[in-house]
Amino acid sequence: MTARVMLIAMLAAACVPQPAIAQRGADTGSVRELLQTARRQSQSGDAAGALASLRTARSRAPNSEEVLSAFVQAALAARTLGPAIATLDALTRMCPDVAQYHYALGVTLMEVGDVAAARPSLEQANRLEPDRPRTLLALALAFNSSKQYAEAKTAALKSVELDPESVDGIAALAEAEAGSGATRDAEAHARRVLAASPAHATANLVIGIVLMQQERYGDARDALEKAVANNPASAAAHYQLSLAYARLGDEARAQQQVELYRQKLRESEERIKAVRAAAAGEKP
Amino acid sequence: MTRALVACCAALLAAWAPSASGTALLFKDIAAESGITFTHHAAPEKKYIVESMSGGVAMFDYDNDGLIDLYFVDSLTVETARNPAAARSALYRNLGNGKFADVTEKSGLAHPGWGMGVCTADVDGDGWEDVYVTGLGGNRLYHNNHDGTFTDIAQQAGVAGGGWSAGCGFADYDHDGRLDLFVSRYVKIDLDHLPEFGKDKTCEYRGIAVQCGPRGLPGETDFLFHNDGNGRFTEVGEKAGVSDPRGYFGLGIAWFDYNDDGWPDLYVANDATPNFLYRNNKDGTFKDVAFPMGVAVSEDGAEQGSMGVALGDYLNAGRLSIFVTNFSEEYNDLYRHDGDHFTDVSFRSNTAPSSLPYVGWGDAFIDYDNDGLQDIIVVNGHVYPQLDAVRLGASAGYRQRKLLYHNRGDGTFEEVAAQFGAVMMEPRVGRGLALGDFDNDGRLDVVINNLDGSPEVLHNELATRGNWLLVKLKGSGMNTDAIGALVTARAGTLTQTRVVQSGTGYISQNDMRLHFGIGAATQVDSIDVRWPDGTTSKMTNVKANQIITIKK
Repeated sequence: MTARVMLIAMLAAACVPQPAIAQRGADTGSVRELLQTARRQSQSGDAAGALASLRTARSRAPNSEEVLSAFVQAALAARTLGPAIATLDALTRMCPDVAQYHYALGVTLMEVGDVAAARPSLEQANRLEPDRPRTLLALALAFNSSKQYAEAKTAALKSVELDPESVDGIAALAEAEAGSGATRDAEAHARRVLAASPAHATANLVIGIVLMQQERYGDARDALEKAVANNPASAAAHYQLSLAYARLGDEARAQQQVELYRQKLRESEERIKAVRAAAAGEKP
Repeated sequence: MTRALVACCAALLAAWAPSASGTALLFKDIAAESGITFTHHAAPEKKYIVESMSGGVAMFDYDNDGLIDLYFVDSLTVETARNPAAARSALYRNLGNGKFADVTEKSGLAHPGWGMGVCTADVDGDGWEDVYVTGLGGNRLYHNNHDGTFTDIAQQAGVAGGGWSAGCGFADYDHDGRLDLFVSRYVKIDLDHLPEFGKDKTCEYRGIAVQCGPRGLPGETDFLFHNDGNGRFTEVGEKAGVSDPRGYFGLGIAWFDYNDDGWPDLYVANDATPNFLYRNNKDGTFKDVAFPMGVAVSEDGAEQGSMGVALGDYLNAGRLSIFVTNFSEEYNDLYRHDGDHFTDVSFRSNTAPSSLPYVGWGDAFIDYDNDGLQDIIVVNGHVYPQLDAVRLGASAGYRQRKLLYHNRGDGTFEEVAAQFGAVMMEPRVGRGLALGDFDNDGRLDVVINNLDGSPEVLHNELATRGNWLLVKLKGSGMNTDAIGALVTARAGTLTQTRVVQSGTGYISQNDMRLHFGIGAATQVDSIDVRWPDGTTSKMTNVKANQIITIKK
């Protein structure tokens, strides 16, 4: 089950005691019909149609948690992350004590690469519902992205303690350890992940970085090639791979990886810009 | 025996005893008592990026009396842009008794315009330091007239430039014996068509309206001025391959021979874009090798908002590593020189974590306690005063404290600013920082130019410190400062390397004399000089605690 599917599955109206579609002046009958239509469209694989139905429902009942929650699920399924973020933002304000909305907002922001915006949401989710492994994992990933490795390690350790078999949790721990210079622990944890999931992008990146530090450039290149193959969008992996090639004296491939790194960086920036613009134009 | 041991320990304890305030005394800010009245100007709201980036500071001996003088660069504002007299840069003559005299009016250095940075060099080889001031709308080359006055010769020399210049530094990149000049430039700014405050997404920071840029604004190219030897320079940046046609946002620069081939290379810190390391091809051209060398971006490939550049042999390995200050929530980079490449060891060295909340500017490697290990100092301060109105997660506020990293001797550092009291912890809006010894007592002092405020003149008063040696080089020919010379001093088991630089830290100028802390050693066993032309000199058995001059 992918993270997004899990995220969609866990989203359900949870902001009690608000009534479901209680909206003064709203045509509750037609909103209910639109919700049912959207559900049918969604079940038949028509994600765009479901989203269109829910957009109409949202315009009729803009303060309905049930509608907004359904809209988010449809938007995530249709991979229209900007509208999902804008709506989740509304839900967190409407239901400030519901951890799942803060979590979903944080994870969605992480998915588009806006870690700075994601972190406060994840921290709030963790405050509201401590000791949830997935929140702790998301928080560890966010801290890793913002280079707060000590905080990342704390969150990852706790996540792994609660869910010892989570390869993503162990990989996040390895990343935090590599970042803070605990290379031996990082390597051990990353190798544990790779034993269970040999293609794991983060674990391969961590191994690559550790091997670079040990000046084992050939082995580092091999690990980083795997990291890139399993996460081609990772600018960090392309950058490290360019360094590995440079150390091995392969200028052409090093330059090629620098170009790919630049391309991934620009794509990531464009994605964030586009999602922010979409979110700004989609305030429910 | 017991009594002797007790007495010894008591003496040691007394030496390390904290001051009355509960913290040890390292630096004392003597700006006011020493007669420094300079104030830097900037618009209070900093609605435009051009009001946030100034200014540099220089420590240099303009009158050849053996005492280090101070020059602070001031800036205009959008409102005062048409009135150069509204900003007053200031030259202070060191009187040698803990006092400085304001000699600005006589010197002619008061009004360079919208000033940014400063670097010094004896450009014409007459034995007197000249001053280059960068800024918005043209730069100044102030020729030293040997009588306490300067004359701006930038136009006739061909180095006035234009646009928005920031960093500068002189070096003889082509080994013709004459000092050439590199100037980094920042953003294209038209004062009549300024980007509107808070206008769009590039003028927002965490949802609040702020000044625009540098992202979203067009960048400027950089200049390399070749010294033609007839009082004229020719701009050769494009031909030499250092013009930065993509218009990255250039700030701090450092000339140094990173690959030890005897030719000066060049590092340029760029804001919000990758940094450059130009390798000298020895034929008048350069190649940017920052990516393969590992010094362009952060370890995870992030383009950082780089400001200042410091060079230091912090491992006493005979190689100069690079320390770069960056924007908040990035981190300051320590690129360790590993011989044929650099490695980002910022987190492993423990310099990165404490830097995350701060926007870093002036920086320097400084052996503040003369233990033979180079420590690091950084001044910080945000660019958005609007920050103070909101709470912004991990980022510190507009005014920020300094960072002081003590070198543990094992490749790692400990951030110790809090041990040294308010002078290090009081939040300011730091920009340029210069390092030197203005009272010639062998302890390194620090001078800071703070944006829109008064400067700090930090006198090093650390009681417990090691022995030292200050080395002044006297080059031959036109390069009398011996800019680019490399000096290696050996004292007991300590071997330390320093380089003579024009243009240091964040758009500033350090004292060019080279400082060596040597701990308990009472002499320096040998001093090896590699002059800019590749020739060498050697001195042996030099007594500690003195200033020596080595002539080529």
